Amino acid sequence: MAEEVRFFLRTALYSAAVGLIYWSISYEVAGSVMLAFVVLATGLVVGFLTIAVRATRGELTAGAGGPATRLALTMLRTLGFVEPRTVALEEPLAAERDRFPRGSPWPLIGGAGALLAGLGLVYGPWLLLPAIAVLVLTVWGWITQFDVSS
Amino acid sequence: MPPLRRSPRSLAIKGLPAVLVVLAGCTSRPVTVEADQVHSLYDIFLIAAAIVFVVVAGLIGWSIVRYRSRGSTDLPVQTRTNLALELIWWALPTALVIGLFIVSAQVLGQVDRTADPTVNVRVESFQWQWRFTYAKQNVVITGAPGNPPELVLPTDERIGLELVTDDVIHAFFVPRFLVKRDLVPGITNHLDLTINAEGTYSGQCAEFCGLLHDRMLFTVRAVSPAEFNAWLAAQPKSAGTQP
Amino acid sequence: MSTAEFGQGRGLGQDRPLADGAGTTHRAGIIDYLTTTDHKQIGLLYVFTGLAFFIISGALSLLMRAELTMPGLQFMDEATYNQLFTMHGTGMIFFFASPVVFGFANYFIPLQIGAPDVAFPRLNALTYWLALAGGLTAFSGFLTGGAAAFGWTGYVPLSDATYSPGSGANLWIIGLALSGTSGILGAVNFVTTIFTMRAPGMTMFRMPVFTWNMLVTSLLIMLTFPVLTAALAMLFIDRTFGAHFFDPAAGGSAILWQHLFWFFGHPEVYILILPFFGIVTEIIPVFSGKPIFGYRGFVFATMLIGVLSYSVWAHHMFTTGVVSNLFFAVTSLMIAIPTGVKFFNWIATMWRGRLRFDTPMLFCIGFLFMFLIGGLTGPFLASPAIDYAVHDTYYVVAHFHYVLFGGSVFAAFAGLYFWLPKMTGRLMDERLGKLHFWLVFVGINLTFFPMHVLGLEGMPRRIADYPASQGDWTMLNIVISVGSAILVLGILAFAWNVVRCIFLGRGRISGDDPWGGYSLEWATSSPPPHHNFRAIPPIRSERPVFDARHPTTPVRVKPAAVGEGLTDG
Repeated sequence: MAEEVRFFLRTALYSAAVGLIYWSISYEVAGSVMLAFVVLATGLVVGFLTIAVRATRGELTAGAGGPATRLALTMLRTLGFVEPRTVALEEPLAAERDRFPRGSPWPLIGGAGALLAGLGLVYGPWLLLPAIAVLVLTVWGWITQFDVSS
Repeated sequence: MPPLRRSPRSLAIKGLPAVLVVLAGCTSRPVTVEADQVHSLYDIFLIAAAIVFVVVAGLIGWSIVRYRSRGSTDLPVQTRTNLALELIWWALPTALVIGLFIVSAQVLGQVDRTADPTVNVRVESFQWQWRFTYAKQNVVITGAPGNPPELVLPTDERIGLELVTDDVIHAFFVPRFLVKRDLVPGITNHLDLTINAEGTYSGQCAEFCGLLHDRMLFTVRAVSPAEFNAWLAAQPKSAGTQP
Repeated sequence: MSTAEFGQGRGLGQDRPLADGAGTTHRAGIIDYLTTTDHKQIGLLYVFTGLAFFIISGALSLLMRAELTMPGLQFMDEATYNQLFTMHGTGMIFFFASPVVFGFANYFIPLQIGAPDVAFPRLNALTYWLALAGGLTAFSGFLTGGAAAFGWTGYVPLSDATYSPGSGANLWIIGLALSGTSGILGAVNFVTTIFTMRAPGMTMFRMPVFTWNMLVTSLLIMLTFPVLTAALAMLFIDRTFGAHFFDPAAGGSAILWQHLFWFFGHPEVYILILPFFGIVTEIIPVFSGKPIFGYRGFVFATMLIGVLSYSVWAHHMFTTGVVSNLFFAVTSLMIAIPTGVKFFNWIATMWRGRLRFDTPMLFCIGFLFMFLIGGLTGPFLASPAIDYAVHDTYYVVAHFHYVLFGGSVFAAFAGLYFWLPKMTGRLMDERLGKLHFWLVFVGINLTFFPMHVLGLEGMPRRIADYPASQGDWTMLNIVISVGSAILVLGILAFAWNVVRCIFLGRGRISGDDPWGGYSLEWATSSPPPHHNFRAIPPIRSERPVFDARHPTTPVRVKPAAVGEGLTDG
């Protein structure tokens, strides 16, 4: 088993043991629930890694899909949620290609939106609602930014 | 590159006895039966810590003195590990920790014991003073800002303190008793102790409770049982035990 | 998008050659930094933002020391003092230490594993802006009629709307929530980067120890920061929307806050020390001329500390009377074991080495002594009966300042002297560095050692004033204040060193590898080019650069343990 998976599995098993001991000694709800959630969270990662690793070993066929799928893809492509057909998919980390975004305004805008939203929670909806709009804009801009250079 | 002029190791070793004396002595003599045990437990921990400090600081100091490069550019032997050594240095701290836990558990059992107190006092804390109620005798002592209350208690009798509060979390702390206990809204805590030395001891709130937390003082005056009963009889009776 | 000269993205072959040792002389402008997604620039932003909050939070503590030197309220009232200690703690923990950790992690995790950047570069930038937003928000309480004034631990009911009305408390909550979110997203980024972007040949057990420690730290952040943000949300809802999570009179629980807070809070302090253990473990081997002794044992100890750290939380609640003191005494004493073992690893690394005492190593040695003292007072606090006596006194303040200042901050200084040359291409001045070291070494001991005595004599913490009748306390407080003045001098020496050598550019050119380093960051220019590497040396151990420079030294001197080999997971 990959060390990455073992890393999370060890944590899950340890937490399960400690959680059981803690509950049986103290019957204290808050701590026991938190420990149980540690088991759940790390177990989730173990499950995902196991399944994902398994999946990439086999064949991942890109289905042609029926008319509904093609329509959905076209709509998503128009909105910008799916890469345009003309962008070739390349290997990650290939040294000749710069696939990393060279810069982006969205983190700054998103940070400002989060700041304003936080302040909006303190000071009122007049600040919170515009801030949420900024955050929605950020999500859209972020997802639709493709910076792949040739 | 100038070599280190001072040897931190020799400084550490020379300073250590003075430090130990200070740390061991500055709690001053404990005045309850439980505090005596806590003080002994503390001394055990202190000795263990001192030994570990001397050994580890000594090794560090030795390394930095003995293994200075002195300008040589040869590579030293590139030792990566030694299984036996690693097993030993996992085992030794484990053994020490087990020992410390055993003594801790023993003393904790003594200190936490709540059983059959003969004198019961209800301690109420509020922002930012105290109220002591001797329910059986209907005596209430309330502190006022700038006028800390005095909790009078008998020596050589088992005292049961009931700790309650209605506003925020406070803590009842008497340094000479080497103990404190929180007062939490919604919870009634109990602290039992037996004082074995007469005297006046300062006390103070030890859980930050707001603006004037630093002024939430009180004193404990421990007197002989006879004197205590006399004092209690002489106190004005309050209208009711519910303030 | 970026106008940065070396961000044109024409591919690595077009970048400046490595051999000139000057790295890039290009200076990125403000717009570059505002829109950057480069982990190196983000790392620099984090480090210098963290240092700025160090100065601010430190200034608050100096004001506190001025007030505490003599009994009586000379300079301020309790209301002000209470804000100072609250924001000192909050600022140091959340807005200095965490950003510095994230700064080093951002800069060096990709470099150490041979990656061109982190897995999610834009998310990375977002975490920085959220962290900055959090710090500004929490401190903005000072401008709105009073910052939070209930201690960095925020215990209820004191922190609820009844006892702490006003927006300062709300801003504190929001600031921490922003900062917490930043941390969680950053941790996810680091774990993904470490798991998926290591260079060929770098198995998990060939990663540098700093990267391993950041992996465990990231796990802790992901498991425990959400608990903090949940607790903060509950407090905010109690305060603003009239809920009763923490209100005992209406069926809630005041103790619940403490469980939630410390389930986060204790791992938090390990989050604040593990990365620095990692930094020290990078530096000591380099300046001893030997590999880290017991790499696997060290990694195992780190993982054990990680999981133990969220099993000990209620040792902060021994005096509440409502938790299982025995359970937490066991776990808290246990955590001393792997921490202590690390000391033996470090000593064994130095043993029979050839030690050089440049400033990074000087701070590591200072770290060893200071963290030893701080670590030894930990078990006292782990024993409930002793804790009853010293909890909430200056004994605790002494303990955590030794491990945080003597531990994390010393290691941070070591890391800065070690790595700022890589990040900026300029070495810092050695004489100023030594001056800095000795001033803070003396200052820290003079400031924090007497606090043990104060605590044993019963001086509680978080008090603006103390009775003049406690003569000992006055004398000790004077000594402590003198110590803190010496600390200030040391910090000034450091600040001047940074300004002079880096911002004014008068430090010597560092070249690729001024120290004889071991890990991959030393295989590229200072600072590295846009995507970090033109070429990566073969990776056969946790010291690829050392191996490349010493081809005739066997990679392993001791026989490999069973199961070790190229098929390491």
